[in-house]
Amino acid sequence: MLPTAALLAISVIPAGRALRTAALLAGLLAAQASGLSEPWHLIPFVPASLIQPSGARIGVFLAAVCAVLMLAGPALPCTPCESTMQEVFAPESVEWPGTVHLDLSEPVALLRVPPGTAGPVEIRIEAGGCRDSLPAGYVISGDHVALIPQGVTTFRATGGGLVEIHLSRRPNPFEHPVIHAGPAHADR
Amino acid sequence: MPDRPMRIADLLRRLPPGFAPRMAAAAFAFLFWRLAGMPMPGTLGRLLPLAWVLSALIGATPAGRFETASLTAFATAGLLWPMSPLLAPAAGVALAAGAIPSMLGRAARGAAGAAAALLPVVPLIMATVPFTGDEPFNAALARSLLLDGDMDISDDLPQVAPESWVTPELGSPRPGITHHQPLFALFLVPGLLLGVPGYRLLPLLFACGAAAATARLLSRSGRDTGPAGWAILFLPGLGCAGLAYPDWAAALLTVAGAASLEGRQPVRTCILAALALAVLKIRFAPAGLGLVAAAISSRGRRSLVRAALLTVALGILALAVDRLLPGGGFFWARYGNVEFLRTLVHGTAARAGDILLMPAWMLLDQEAGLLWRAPWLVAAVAGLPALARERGPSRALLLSGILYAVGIAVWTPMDWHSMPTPTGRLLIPLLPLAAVSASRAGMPRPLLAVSAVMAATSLALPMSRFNHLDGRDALLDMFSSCLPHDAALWLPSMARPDLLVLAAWAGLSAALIMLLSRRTALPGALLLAAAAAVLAARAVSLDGVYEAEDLGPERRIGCSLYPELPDPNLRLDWRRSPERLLMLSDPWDAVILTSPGGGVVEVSARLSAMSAGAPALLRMEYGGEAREFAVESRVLPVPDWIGDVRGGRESPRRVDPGVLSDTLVTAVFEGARPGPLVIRRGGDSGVLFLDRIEVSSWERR
Repeated sequence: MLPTAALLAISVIPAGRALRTAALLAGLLAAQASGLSEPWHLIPFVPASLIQPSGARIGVFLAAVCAVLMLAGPALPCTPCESTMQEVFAPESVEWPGTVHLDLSEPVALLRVPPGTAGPVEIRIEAGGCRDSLPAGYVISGDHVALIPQGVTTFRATGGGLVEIHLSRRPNPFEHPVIHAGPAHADR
Repeated sequence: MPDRPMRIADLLRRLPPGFAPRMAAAAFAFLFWRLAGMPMPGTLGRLLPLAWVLSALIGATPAGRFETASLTAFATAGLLWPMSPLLAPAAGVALAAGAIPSMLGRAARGAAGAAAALLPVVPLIMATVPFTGDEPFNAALARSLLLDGDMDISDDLPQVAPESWVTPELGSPRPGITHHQPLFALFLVPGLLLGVPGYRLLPLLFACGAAAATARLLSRSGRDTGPAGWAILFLPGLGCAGLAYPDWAAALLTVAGAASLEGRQPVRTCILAALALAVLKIRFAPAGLGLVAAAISSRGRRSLVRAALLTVALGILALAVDRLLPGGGFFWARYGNVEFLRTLVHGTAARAGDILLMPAWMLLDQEAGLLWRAPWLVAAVAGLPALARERGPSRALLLSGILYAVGIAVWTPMDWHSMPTPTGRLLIPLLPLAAVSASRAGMPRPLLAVSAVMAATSLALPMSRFNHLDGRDALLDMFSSCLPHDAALWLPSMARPDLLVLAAWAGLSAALIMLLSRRTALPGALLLAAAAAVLAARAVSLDGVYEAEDLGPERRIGCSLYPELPDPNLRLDWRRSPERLLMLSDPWDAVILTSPGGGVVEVSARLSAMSAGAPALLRMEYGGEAREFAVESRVLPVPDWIGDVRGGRESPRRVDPGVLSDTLVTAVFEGARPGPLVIRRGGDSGVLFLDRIEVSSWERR
């Protein structure tokens, strides 16, 4: 996705119209290939690449970007990116010492519970960044689903196998939803 | 009333150039960050727009294309940021880069401008750079000196950094002595009242002072003062500007000493500067020696010989007195005081290979290399021949720089890179020389732009400046989930040396410099093509190669890293390579790799083992078949030169995997059905330390 963004940015930056147009076409193709399904987020680049005076071009682009953000929010991936929490085996317990930060770019964390783990998995979860008090996400453990309230919570996931932590918020202007998951602990 | 419009017009005229567009950009960035819902709105979302506001206030040049490009890149990455974990950091880097041209413009306006140039990013440095590395040690020493009246920091360190500790082996030669000298710690006293920003206050002023003094030196020689800004606003200088390290203070003393050659009593001033440098940190003593030599050589050859003899005699006297009275506690070195000379004699010969390769790693290593972090230094190297023909302060800087560089090479051939503190910290006293030298050569704009982007990266991603000599750069660590698992192997690394990769990157770099110089375009293009082909071939041959310590959670279950902490000082005396290892100590610990398929699959693992009784077993499973191997490692002998230095005294230390020999284990699976490849510990005793795994496959004819 980084090369796609670079091509799209180049379609606005240089002085030559030919180079901008070429970068725009390449950027549009790259965006299509990299899973940017909604066309709204590409709209600011089209007029901006065609306008010749530099000041007007940047002004139109920045205004169009703000308009798109207000109307459609930032672009979201079709398939949410997952991160896996690394476990460490101690003689009496299983520890997940790190902290995973979930935001809109990486909204899912997976925690593998080894078979035969004796106790429930205790996970420290901190959620926030929203302008209301509704849950920020949810935890799936076996057949159980628990909502993640904002603030600091310790979850006890009793089902084995895989514990999934999801950030469920959609993007809204002036909101920065985030979940910090971990550390976690379970007795063996 | 009638003159009010006039006053407003006057006010507008007095505004710095580019004030309005930069302020508008700051407002846009602040609002955009919130509209897009980007992460860290409270820190980066405020401090980066604040950097633009401050850059507007100090602006000396109109806003240009670089700022426009930065803002466009920021908006593009910010619009798409949820699409990849790389894009939000990229947006931050682009925004930080946009503040730099204004700072460079200010630095080009004389000594005061150079001193003020850093201002826009001071809040970022103070608030976001972790208080780590040697900073807590220096702060604890300040606390100990002032509150306890001693130099024993073991009871002060937990006060300033609760997670830190000190052991006699790593930090101090014996209780009551720390290898941090006391003078610099006294400059950190404001921290006792103000906390972390207080500890960093005076070091920040030293950095600004060094930039100002360098600018003054440049302006006296009739040059543009812009290069003084490059020294402080680009890496490696920016990485330590405002942090509690003595290196910028040393740079200030060096440039002040060099400038005194145009004054009334240069010899006396240079001797004072040299003494101050040695007391600040014994590592800076060669730089001071260079200043004194330059001051004396400006008076004639006879006085140079006399002064050299006097300097040597004084040095011997100082070392002897220090050894006899405080037991080597003042000019402390690793093996006492006078004894360190034996380290130099034996160690330099034994580590000649490391010393010879040092320039290559200093330029190209992915964690410590300066060529891609600070390409502006290419201009500094290009200007050295012109500088060598000059006299006065330039010669003093050159002599001081040469002696300091030789001192670093001989004294610290293994840790010149200063990891885990910011990369290139030990080279900061050379930056005034680099700036003056760069002013004698032309600076291609692409080098300037890349230097600005790399500086912006260290501002927007403060953790990127801390590396740990583990063979993978901090940036690759941060974004490992978005990058190929073997991306780090394509880049040169002194922790995991691959001479083919090093040669390819050396060729690529040389070719790019030749292309930029435009005089050698055709050979440059040919070299570029050849080096790229070699690198591509090597990258293909690395397919199926896994450095065990790089494996992410998707390829391993359990398996802690050894040592648990990334501090390279814990691996300083390892007799094998300094890279970390993947530990298989629990029955559930396992490495799981995807199979390449094919009729015959060959798996090689390089590892070492520790066991109390029966040998540890390594078990490889693939396609329903399993192979088990007994692994035994022997303790590697202490290098001869260390034995010579110790005079036969062997210090007792526990055996850890760093002093064990490697074993190569190879398993061949023929005709097994495809499936995951699992590597785990067999049996229930012993511990295995995995270093590298290679998986290949082919069809049997």
